[in-house]
Amino acid sequence: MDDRKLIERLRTGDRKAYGELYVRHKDACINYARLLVGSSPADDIVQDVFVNLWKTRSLILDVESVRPYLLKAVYNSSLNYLRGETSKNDFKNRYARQIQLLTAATYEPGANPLIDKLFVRDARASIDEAISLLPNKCGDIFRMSYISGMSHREIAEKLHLQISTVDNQIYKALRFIRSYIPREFFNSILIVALMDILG
Amino acid sequence: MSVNNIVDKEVKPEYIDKIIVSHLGGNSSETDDMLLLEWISSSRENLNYFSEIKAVWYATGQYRTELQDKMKNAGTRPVGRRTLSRALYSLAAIALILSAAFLGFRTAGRNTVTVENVNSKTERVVLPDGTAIWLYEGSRLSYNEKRYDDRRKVKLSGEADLDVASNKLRPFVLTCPKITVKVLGTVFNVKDYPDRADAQTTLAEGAVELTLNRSSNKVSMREGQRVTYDQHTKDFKIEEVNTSRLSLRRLGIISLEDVTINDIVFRLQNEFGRHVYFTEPDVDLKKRYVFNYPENAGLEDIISLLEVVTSTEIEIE
Repeated sequence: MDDRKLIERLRTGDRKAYGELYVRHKDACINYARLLVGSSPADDIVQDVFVNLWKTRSLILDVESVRPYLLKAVYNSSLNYLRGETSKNDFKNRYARQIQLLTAATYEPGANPLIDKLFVRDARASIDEAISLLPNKCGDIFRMSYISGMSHREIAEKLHLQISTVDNQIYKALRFIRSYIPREFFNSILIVALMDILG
Repeated sequence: MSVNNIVDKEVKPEYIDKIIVSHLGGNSSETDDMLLLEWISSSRENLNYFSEIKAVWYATGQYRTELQDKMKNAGTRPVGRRTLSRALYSLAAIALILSAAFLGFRTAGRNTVTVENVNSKTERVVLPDGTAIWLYEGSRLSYNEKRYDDRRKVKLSGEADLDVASNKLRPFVLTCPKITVKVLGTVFNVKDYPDRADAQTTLAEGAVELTLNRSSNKVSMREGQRVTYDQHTKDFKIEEVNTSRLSLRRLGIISLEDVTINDIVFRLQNEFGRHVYFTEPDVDLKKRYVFNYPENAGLEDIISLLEVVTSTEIEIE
């Protein structure tokens, strides 16, 4: 069943439809919230957003998908949270908090095409495709981290490499994926980024 | 949004990269964070660059968690390289079949697969182990399909770029008319046409060993080297060259180096069989460019890229 039908049912107070929407979107919301505020408060923020979804169910418009709406709500609550007093203790130092605030403000859904690609639509296929294009060594290391979930230290030990080498290769991979995902813009970005990672 | 966005006057770019890595991994010191904050505050480009890397970091993390959950539920071990490469094998097989459709000849008699490129366009051939070979015009390669898994032996006449799948137990052996190249997993180009006196090998990544056919003369090559053998003088010449074109090829990027706008247009016309022309009268025809484009891109995309690179308006007929 698509989101549109679930939203229709949700508006009439169907708890099952609500549960289905929750299962469908909670992971993306939690990961997006983690990107915005870091791990610890992310779950709470997302819980609140879903509670509000239920409370305001009669006000939800007729839309294709509830994902953009949810992400926007996560975005607003996250920024409020970051600006508030309670968030001060979440960070190692005041610089880290500033960095978080500055970056979070760039992640507004609808305003940032990369965020839309990564969290609103399913970017899984593009990410897999980008990973398959990585150079051998870089691809192997990234896959060990990405698919097998090995830590950088474990990878370094297994491949007899310095941890810093592993760090760098993973960073290279991230840079490549970043330039690969928004392919509408490949004209300017992809080529330059490719030159960049190979340079 | 350019390479320059990570070049800052005050902080060295390599240092910023290190800081970003440790910040994302949660291992940055207070000074690191301070420098990072300074750097991202100094320009919108820097901020966007860092923001995007961070977003990708979290997004890939999302799929990592999903995958691990799935594996836990299914009670299986994490998917390793083995399972992946099996999928790669089947892909390679499909690619090989598909590529046959574009090639001039592909004959398979008695398990020997022969691929000959009669097109002006470079053709990509994928071998059963995932090794990719880009075959140039007028070049031919052959290998034994049945025995390839045991003995990675390929014959080549002409020119090719190669990205050899790493397998330390089974070296990849490329036999050309005059030289033989033994490989452990690498990216290189080899040029050995039977009707020419010189044979050339250029190595971008990895290590190869070069042997003269019917002789015990060996040369071990380092990355970035080009070795030319001359049949008349019987001499090896070793030079250091720029191999970024080869590395780009592996990423599906075609790189034209030191070309004029006319060279590029001429090549694109040939490749796509359509007329391409400038709409402006004052085009600098002498200026030389490095022009890169994805090998599977359409002509329209390539042209709009070319317009950006050369700041020239170009039309397709």
